[in-house]
Amino acid sequence: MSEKVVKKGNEALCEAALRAGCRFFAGYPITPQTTATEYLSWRMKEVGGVFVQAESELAAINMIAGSAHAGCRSMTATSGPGLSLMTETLSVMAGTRLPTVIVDIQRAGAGIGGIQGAQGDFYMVTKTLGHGGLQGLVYAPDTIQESVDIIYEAWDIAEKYRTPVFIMTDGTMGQMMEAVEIPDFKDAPDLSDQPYVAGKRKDGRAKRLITDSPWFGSKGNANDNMEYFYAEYEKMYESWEENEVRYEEYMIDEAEYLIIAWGTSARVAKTSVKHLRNQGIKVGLLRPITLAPFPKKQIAAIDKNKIKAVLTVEMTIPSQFHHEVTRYLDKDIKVDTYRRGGGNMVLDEEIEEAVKKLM
Amino acid sequence: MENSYLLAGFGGQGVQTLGQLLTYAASDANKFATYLPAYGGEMRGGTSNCTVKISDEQIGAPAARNYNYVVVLNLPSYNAFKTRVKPGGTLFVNSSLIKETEAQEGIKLVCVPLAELAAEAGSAVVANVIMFGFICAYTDDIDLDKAKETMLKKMAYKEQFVAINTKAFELGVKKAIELK
Amino acid sequence: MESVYQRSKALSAASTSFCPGCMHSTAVKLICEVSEELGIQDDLVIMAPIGCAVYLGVFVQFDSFGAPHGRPAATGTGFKRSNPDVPLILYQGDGDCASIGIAETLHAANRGEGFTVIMINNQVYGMTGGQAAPTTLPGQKTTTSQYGKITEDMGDVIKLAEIIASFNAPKYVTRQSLHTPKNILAAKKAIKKALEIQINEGGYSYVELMSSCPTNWKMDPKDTPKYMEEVVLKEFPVGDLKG
Repeated sequence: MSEKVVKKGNEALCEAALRAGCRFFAGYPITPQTTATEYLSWRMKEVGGVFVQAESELAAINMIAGSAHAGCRSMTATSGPGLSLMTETLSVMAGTRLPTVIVDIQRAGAGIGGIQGAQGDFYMVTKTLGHGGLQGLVYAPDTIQESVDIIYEAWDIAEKYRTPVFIMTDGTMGQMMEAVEIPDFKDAPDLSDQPYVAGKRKDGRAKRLITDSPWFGSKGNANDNMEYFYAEYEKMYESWEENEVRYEEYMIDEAEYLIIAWGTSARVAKTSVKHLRNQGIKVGLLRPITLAPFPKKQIAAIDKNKIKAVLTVEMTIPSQFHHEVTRYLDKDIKVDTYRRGGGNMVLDEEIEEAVKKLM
Repeated sequence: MENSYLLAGFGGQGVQTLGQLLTYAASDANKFATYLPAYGGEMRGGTSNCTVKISDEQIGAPAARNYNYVVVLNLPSYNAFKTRVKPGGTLFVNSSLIKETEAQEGIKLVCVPLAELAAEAGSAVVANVIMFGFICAYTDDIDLDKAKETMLKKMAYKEQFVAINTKAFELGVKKAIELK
Repeated sequence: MESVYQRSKALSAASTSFCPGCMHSTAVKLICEVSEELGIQDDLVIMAPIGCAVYLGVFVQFDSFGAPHGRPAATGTGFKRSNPDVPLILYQGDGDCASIGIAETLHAANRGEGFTVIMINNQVYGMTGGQAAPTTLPGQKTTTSQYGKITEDMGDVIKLAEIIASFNAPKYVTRQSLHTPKNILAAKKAIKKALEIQINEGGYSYVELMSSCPTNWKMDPKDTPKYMEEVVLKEFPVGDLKG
């Protein structure tokens, strides 16, 4: 039975992962991810899965790759510096077309930076997974409930496309508590027939030669095969833009001003929208739920005859998300950005002031 | 209706538990609630604080510039957060530890002699439960019976803790009614 | 006519891409023969390394997958923990195992992960063209130690087998060599023992195989056994270290 509980964001996310059939977690403690690792260290065993405290994020990401090669639903969670360590294998996973789930509980800054929530991994995660230019699907919930709902279907999507799936939250979403409906346990599918799964060769089936790069095929040499298959991957990424884009429109009726934001910034902006609407200011919010694929068409469709100005909001400096939005936004629409950096959370009052400045 | 709380004290005074209790209780009373701890340096001593929002609607921002209710249990927290009360809001101070307070225009100041109440309850450990009862009774944000039920569910997981926590909660409630 | 020897059925029809005189082919052949002798040729899964054996999966009839350079022990951990019934070999080189992946290698050994590591120690980075490895002998010339390896600069020889043998968890740790028929037979026995332990008792086993790299040693293959006997094995003595 699904149940309503008040839980920390990290813990709710992990519990929903187990209920989605995840039976392997490897992670290395890093703030603000630690509550996820701690939670699964005992909870995973209760459901008969495997928890490994890895010696590093390098090891953790490769452990979940190994588990996926065994046909198991696997995941890891990390934050900034740990994610940097994982990038080589993210690239490998995108190349192998390995379905896994990676949760990035973002913290502030480059390098060691700070441990407070931030949104500075946007480019790093959405543009390409590690070296080589391949991609994954990237989801950015703005409530604990949404993070639970997304991770509950994350493996289904990952397996459908054979791709790594990212869920991006941040220190705020990870540490905060709110009520959440945790779904019922569901069984993971039998993945033993998948071409990326190694194991015993029953009934004389042919061996599986699993590589991270598509060297083998009908196109001549390794270069030609890679060229061909990467072009096929590109078609898949383009299909995501048609079929997998998710976004939320919040109080956009008769809106004259539009805030565009994601994750924690977006949930804070919702409070601003309510306050401003109470003051008679017609403002709404457009919130990308998928960051890759990015809702390009939806942003391009913003009508300059209806919307007087757009404000982007993000918790990182220099701008990242803002530049991505303005790539697609009608150039005739006035646009500005409001940002906080260094791990400072953006506040609703600040967004309201920024909207009023645009008017 | 949306109310915001900022709760602060030194590590060990139980402000995180207090914040979580408010969140659990509001949720049990079918309201929306968020709890957001300040984490990091606070774990290594010094002040500890968290923010709570309770609302009839889905909550966006889990923190704010200023709060309807600011609860400070020690002097460093008073100094850090006394100016973070919204106009018309209330500042609750632990008068056992914060002896000198200054009046602020438009802000209601409520002094809670927490150490005395804890002595009456019989243990300093239950100070946060006293404060929980006090806040619930003072703000009327959460139904008192529900709040007590939630508190016992979370705090009195062993039979021997029921009596003292109940007493602490009721002492807080009584004091709030007295000061209101 | 009685058949006394035949090509292992676990080897594929493809010819290997190893250089003439390289002992990688011997190691691969031994693994295939042992898998048949143990009746696990349809069950065994092998991890291909980054290095000269990157195409290992082409040469054998086992399921195979890879890992980034240095990470097989982590990837193998994930695989084996999720599918403990499948026998697993991590086929690695000395650069993979003792340099870039030494952390993963040691932690997996210390946890006693239930796979078998076959480490091919040829004292150089072969695939990239003969650079110095942590196993390169003092004074040895490589493309990154052109006047001979100076230990004060590049560090002394890392003897991985000895380090792993110092842990409690590993069930079997051995160093063998592939330079003479007698040593090859002993190496085969060691591989067999390691796999038997993995299958019957579970636990970690490590088999280091001293190997040659005539191309990068710039040595005639027929001279490599003598050099190994007289020089290399003085630094890396063969024999069981644990179990």
